[in-house]
Amino acid sequence: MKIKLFRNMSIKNKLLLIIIGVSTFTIILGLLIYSIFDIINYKKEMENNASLNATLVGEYCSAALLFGYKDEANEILKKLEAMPDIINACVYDKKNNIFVFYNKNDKDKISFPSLSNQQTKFPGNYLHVFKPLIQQNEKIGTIYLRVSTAALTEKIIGNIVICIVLLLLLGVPVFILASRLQRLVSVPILKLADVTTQVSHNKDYSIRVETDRKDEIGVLYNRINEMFEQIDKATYDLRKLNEELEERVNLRTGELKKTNQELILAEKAQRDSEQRLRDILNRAPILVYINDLEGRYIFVNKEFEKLMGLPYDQVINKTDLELFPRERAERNIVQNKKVIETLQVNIFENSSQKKDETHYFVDILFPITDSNNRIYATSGWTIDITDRKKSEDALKKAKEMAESADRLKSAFLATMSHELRTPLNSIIGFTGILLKELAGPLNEEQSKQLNMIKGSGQHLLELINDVLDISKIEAGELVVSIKPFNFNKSINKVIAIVQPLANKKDLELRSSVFPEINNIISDERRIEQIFLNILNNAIKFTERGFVEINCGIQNDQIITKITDTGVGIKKEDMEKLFKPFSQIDTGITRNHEGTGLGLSICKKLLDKLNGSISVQSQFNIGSTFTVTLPINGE
Amino acid sequence: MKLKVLVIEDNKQNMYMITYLLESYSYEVIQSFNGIDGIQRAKEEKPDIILLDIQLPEMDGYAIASELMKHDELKNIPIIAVTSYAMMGDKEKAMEAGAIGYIEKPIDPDIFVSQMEAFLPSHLVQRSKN
Repeated sequence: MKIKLFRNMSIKNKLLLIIIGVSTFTIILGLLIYSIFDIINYKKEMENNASLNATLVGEYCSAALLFGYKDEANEILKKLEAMPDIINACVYDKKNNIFVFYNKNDKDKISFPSLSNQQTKFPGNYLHVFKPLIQQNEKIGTIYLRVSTAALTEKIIGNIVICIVLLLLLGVPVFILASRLQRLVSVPILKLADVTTQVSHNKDYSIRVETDRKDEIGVLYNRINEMFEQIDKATYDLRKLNEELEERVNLRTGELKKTNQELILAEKAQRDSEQRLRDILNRAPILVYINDLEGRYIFVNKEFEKLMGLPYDQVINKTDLELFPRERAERNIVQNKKVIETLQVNIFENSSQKKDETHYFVDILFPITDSNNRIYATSGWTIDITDRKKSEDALKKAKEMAESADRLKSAFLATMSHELRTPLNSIIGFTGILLKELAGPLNEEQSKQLNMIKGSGQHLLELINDVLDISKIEAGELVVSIKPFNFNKSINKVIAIVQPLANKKDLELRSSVFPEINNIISDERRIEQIFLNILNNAIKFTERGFVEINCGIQNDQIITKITDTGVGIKKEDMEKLFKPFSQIDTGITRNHEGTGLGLSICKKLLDKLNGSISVQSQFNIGSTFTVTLPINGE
Repeated sequence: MKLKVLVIEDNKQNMYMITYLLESYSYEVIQSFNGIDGIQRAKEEKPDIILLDIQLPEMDGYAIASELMKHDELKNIPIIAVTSYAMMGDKEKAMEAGAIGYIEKPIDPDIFVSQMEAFLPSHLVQRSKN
């Protein structure tokens, strides 16, 4: 309790207490030691005095004792009255019996102690002195003195009083001095306390304890300043670190937030995507299902539910064996097993009887694998192909019919052309024989009419040939025979054929064929047919002027231009020009014989021969047909 | 010396026309109206020339030519195919089957015989002139 009290005292009081306490203790200790020595000395002195008195009195008494003169001895003792301290005295004889005695006052009467070997001692408040009386080396008795020690007590009390007085006298300056001196220590500490309190209160470590002291306090101040500085720096660093940390935390929090946001978005996207897929699957007009590797259904779409007449909940986690008739279930299991074993898409067709109709299905089974390409399920689509099957069958039938119709047509055409030509051959042949006058001479009219028959026959034959050509071309039966031949020669041959026609109409037939155009790889017969046709047309549709054929080579192509000064072609008719059965209405219809098939045959033949035909024309001025043919046939 | 021409042709009018023309030019004509008979006649008559129509019922001209080529005593007789306006390939087919020439119908009386003669080996032409 006291220690705690002390501990909680202010430094100032503590120092004061310590200084005063230590000073007081020192003074008291000094005075005590001095007093003790003083008293000891005083006691010794008393003893010595008593001993001396005893010896002196003994000397005086010795003779009396020796001779037994009690009165004398009493007288001697009576003289002790002069000694105020000696209260009682006694002389013992040889036999230790009391010889004489003395009491200062009656009230001080005592029973003298029996003799012992006791020397001087202080029992109680008195000093007892025994002294043997020696005469010629022989003990003749003993003297005893009882001395009062009141003086000693007085001495002690006096000393104590002196001590107290001194203490009081010294106390005042000690207190004053202590009060002053304690400040040397307490002031800087208090200052320190004050500063630290400020620092602690304001958390301001920039405050410094001002000092220029070089002592331990100064060192302490400097150390504390250093400490503050370090704390200040550490605080600053800490704050900075804290700020950095906070910033980083903010940043990370932001990132986390962003990531979180993204995660949420991604999750939503995932959910949306799943929902979307589910919707797509559910709206699909085909059956979609997913089985796990044990064959249990883990997903079926709405169409599956609808067509199978099984609600979703009744299908999920069930196997085929639990849902379908044995035959169908076993088929599904076998097909699924194939997918699991081969990891390949498995497509198979099947049919089932529904009411009175057979339904056809195609099942497409495929494996579903995880990211490690490991199969964990199979999925399948079942597509009702009944309608397709029906239309396929219908198409097949239609195709077969068309094909047979085509065959029939081809056969018909072949037969017809043969049948048509055979009588024509007779007509033309016999007319020719008659005209040759092998059967006899003809008159002019007969010749004229027979020529008419022959011309009509030949025209009819051409028509039949054209129809047959176009039929064969359209049926894809036209075969060309590609061989090298002399192009120049062919053109000259064609010119020779049409020359009489041009002469008849009084048209000039010009030709400029490059002599270096010799061998070309193509179909000789068809080339001749094409140019014969074009030249025939040119002459046919030209009433005056000329027809010109002009050949040249450009980039491995033979370009042949046939120009006339005929009726020309109207712009709107250009398109129809190369289409079959479209002899253009020239306004002079029926003036020109022809099937209208010629140019379309030419175009088709040129397509076959990797060539081309084009036309430029001005109505009523003339036309130019351009035929391009590859020299090497390709 | 007259050359013997075997004409295999199913159409009676054509046969008449060809026969008339050939006989006018002093050829001896053996008529046959189908392939089987034609081959038989060829074996029997050993003609100098065979004029063969391609479009015949039952056995067509290519088959007849091929058959004729199988016989050592017949394979050297020149065969000339005669047919209506034909699509490409007919000529080649006929030549492949063994014909040495090809005359297109309709027959032009002005040139028919000279067309035929153009295909004949010179010794035959020589013989016909004598």
